Amino acid sequence: MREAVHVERPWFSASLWEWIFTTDHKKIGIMYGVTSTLFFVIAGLMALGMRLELFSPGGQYMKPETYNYFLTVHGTVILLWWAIGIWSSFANFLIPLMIGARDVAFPRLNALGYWMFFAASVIALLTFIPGNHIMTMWTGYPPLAAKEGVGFAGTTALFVFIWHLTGFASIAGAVNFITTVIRMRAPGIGFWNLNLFIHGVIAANVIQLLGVPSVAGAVTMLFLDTYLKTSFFDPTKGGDPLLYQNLFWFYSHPAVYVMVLPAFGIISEIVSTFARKPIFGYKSMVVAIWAIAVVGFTVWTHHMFVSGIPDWVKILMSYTTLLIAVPTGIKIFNWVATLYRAAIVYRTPMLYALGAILMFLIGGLTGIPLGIPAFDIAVHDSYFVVGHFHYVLGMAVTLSAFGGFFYWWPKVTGRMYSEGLGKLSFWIVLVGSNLLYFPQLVIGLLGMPRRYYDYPAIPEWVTLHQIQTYGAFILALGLLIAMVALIKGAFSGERVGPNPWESNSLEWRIPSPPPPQNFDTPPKVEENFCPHGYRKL
Amino acid sequence: MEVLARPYDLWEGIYKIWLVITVIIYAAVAIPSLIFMVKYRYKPGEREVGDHEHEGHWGLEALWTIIPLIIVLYLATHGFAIFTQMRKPPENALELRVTAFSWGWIFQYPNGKTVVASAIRDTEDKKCKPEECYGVDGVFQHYVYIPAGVPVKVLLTSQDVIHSFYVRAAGVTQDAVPGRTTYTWFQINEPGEYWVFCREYCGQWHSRMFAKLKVVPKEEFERWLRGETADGGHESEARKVANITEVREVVR
Amino acid sequence: MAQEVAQHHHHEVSVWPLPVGVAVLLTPIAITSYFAWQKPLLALILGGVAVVLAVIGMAGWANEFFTKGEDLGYGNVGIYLFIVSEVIIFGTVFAAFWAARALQAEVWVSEWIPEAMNLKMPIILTLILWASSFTIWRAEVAMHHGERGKSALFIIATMFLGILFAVLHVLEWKHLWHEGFTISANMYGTGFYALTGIHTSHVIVGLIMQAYLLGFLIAGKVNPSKMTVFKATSAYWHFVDVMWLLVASTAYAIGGLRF
Ligand code: HEA
Ligand code: HEA
Ligand code: CUA
Ligand SMILES: [Cu+2]
Repeated sequence: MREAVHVERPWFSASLWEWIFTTDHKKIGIMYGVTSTLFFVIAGLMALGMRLELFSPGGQYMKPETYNYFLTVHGTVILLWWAIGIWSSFANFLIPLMIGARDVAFPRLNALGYWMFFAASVIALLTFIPGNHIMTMWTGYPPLAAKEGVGFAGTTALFVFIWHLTGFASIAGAVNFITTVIRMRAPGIGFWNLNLFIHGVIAANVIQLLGVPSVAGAVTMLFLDTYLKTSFFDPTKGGDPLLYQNLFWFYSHPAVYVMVLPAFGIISEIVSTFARKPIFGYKSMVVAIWAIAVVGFTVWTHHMFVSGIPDWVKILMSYTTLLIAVPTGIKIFNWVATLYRAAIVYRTPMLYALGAILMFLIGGLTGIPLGIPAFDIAVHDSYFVVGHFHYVLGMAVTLSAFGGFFYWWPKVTGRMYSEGLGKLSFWIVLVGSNLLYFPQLVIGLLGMPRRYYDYPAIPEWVTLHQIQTYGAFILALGLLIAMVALIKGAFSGERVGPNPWESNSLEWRIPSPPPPQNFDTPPKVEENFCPHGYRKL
Repeated sequence: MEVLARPYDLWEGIYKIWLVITVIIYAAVAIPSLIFMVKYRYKPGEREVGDHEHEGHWGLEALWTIIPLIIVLYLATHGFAIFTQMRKPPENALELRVTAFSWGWIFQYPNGKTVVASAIRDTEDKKCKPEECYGVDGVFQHYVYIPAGVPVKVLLTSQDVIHSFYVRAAGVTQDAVPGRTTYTWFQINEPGEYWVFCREYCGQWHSRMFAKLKVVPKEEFERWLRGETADGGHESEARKVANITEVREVVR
Repeated sequence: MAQEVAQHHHHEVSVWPLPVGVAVLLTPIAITSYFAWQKPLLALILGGVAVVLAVIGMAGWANEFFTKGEDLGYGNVGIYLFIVSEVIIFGTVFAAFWAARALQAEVWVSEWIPEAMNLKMPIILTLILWASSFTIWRAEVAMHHGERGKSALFIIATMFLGILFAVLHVLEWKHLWHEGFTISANMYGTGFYALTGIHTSHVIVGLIMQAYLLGFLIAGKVNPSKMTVFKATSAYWHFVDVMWLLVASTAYAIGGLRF
């Protein structure tokens, strides 16, 4: 193949108007990234506020309404903007580069998708206006969520529209990315030699396509029940509050794989690059990803084990839930096997990726008992659940996202991040997170219910809450350092060539930063092309 | 040996099994990882590129598909067996009807006696500590009396939004859903005071929706049920109910 | 699969997604103003601006599509994926309807079904939609053969049938509503209006797509080698038609018959 020619202009040197009206996947990717990260910071800071409130029993700094509002925004925003939204950033920037395409299939739709996401962001910000707080929790269960007002749900409409708009953006993105990967791959790239990141993202997008409409339907019904007094969830008129939960979780369980499959993809990219070795068991990795995506649609009632559904449904979905451990385990073991007889280079992205694997394991292994109804009835809606999902989300997903930032930073900016600060940030984040999240598991086993603004002064509970609060601030410091490491790099880091990590994947065969047109000629990949592994340029 | 509470004993069994399996799996992944991480570091001139020969191994991959499969099938089946036992209230259980509301529960005993357990004294009072909030002059109000050593079956429903009923000592949670009746059961063997929490988010004072069970010997319970003890007389009951309507009006 | 990479060294821009995006932002704010903030005037203004922006944005967008670049035919894949998504949206309302029909069967039959409910109207509506599916298919075939005028006529016929469908449906709703069968009466009312309402909203979207298509067809911008939008529009319309069968049999037959 011909080596890429020298670029006169990198992708980002455009005027303000060109940025605003851009249809270029790289710029849109960055716009997603900035928006997502901003909202991650907002949601994270609100969590710090909650942690302060929980430092000791009784009301400290805020009223319960405020706490409930903070928690609702923390959950909703961090999931929809960060755990899901951030992958739109990576997917936009990387998919066309990895498959050797000029852009996505529908560049204008892509831009509209971003503006819908932006619209959702504005709606989320509207909830900050006093009187418009939402207090539904991210799950928005009726009948509570259908009761507007301060003691109950706040402004239900805004909650509903946050879901609608992020949902539309997701569907637009899914249609776009799936079409792109089906139709626009460079010759020689097929199902069995796509980057694992692409498999992860596309599986996630298929889930979005099939799942988002379900939650969109659910919140639309919620809207109608709230404002037009329809009967969907009103038992006095033949409706059923549990219908909402079924529709909600039919999407929101698979959604956790929307959050984690791209993270797995990033881990695979990083691990194989820094192990300087192709990923172990590529085929079983691909099968595992798709198996997780499919089986993920058959387990949703494990969130409803105590809601009053028939016992046989619980048992059935208990089996399917635990079954997901199998493909997930395959991925974990394959990563470990990739390290075998490797030549591991310890750079910041690798630390983050390895941390993500070992921390995901805790999250996954604590998900298993939740999937067993006999266990779950003692810990449902307790901090044990909170600990479980912070390990998978606050750790595995967040560490992978930061790992991805560090890994592709040189490609995006053309400059290297600050290595010393990067490594430092990892260790602080790791320690802080574990101090924050591990006590959640313990306090949950001791019975602490979640979504409590206040709790009785049971001594162990108080101690465990205090450790969490300290951990949260250490973690925040670590994240701050990570951001400094990146931003400093973008401005004053040393310049890098096309392939600083010596990876075999296509995005590393064009200059860093990439030129506006990506590839000068459609790339041709070698026979037996494998996107993972080592390649000196 | 008599256990403190049921079905908590069953829960503990499955908890221990899970814990052992989890620690083993964690070790099985983490130990080799750490060894490889140390052993297969990049070394200039010596180990600069990883092994490109082996891109997979069907035997190994089959191994780590089948072993986890067996483990999860075992866990799910064992859990199934335990769950069936857990869900079956003993024949002689005392039947308690519990109706949740924002934010408390109305407990109805078989003889018609009702106790309203609502912890909210003042919705504006944000500074009070829980014990203060739920007591009058430092005395906790409205204990829910439960006989020691007697299984209690709870039939749950709700007046407004979804609430939940979690007996901490017994390790059981069950939602109270408007328009439905759900059930759970528990048994506490040692007299004492035990927490009940609402575990389904139900609005502003979700965090103060809790009650205290006063588990007493059977005879004492019976006396209380007949209204022969000072504590929990009917008169204060009526006052409390009035309070609740008040509180709910304020909130609307 | 092979693909051509065009040699663009400039930054690619389009002004049209942004106005549509702003319309998408203003719509929920308008709805919130009306329902939650109870400011109907603000709702009207925001809603009006949203409609204008959407119409202009979409027109500009379509124009750009027809004038610039070549038609790579990705649109079909896109619209099929989108339709899959739509099917699930309908699925949620069906789930609500069927669950209530099964769980509340007794009250449903004895109390909820209004006297005025009968199968006459749905049969008429079905025939109308079937006819329209046929006409849009004819329009597509005509365009394939390059018969622009004939194609335009068939689109107009399709639109006429679509509008007739919507109007008759609205009259039907009015009638039932006045019989006391409202959306908030009970779960049958809720399910009935939700299903037929969501379907009619899709009919309207289909009509808007056809209106744009017709405009560009008359302006001479659609030709046999640029059929993607045409195919997408007709695929969507067939989907709306097929959905109607499920909607009608659920809303009228499963819901309205006393069994
Ligand atoms: C990225 C997000 C993510 C991921 C990946 C997961 C993964 C899993 N989750 Fe989690 N979960 C959440 C996010 C996530 N979850 C969230 C946000 C909630 C709370 C929602 C709310 O109420 O607000 C939740 C809640 C939740 C519940 C409901 C609890 C309750 O409310 O009472 C349950 C119950 O089954 C559950 C189970 C699982 C299981 C079995 C997995 C599995 O996929 C894990 C599989 C992985 C492993 C098991 C580890 C690796 C495997 C091996 C090394 C092989 C060997 C292992 C064995 C043999 C066991 N989760
Ligand atoms: C991706 C998902 C994700 C992530 C990353 C996090 C991150 C964090 N979460 Fe949360 N969390 C959820 C998803 C997540 N969470 C969900 C879904 C819920 C349930 C919601 C519900 O019940 O409805 C929840 C609930 C939840 C609770 C339970 C509350 C309750 O039930 O009452 C708590 C309490 O401690 C908490 C805390 C935190 C903290 C302290 C962080 C920290 O990791 C945050 C760290 C981030 C920052 C601090 C911002 C960025 C940092 C900087 C800009 C540096 C500069 C700042 C300083 C130096 C101060 N979260
Ligand atoms: Cu009642 Cu929470
Ligand atoms: Cu789940």
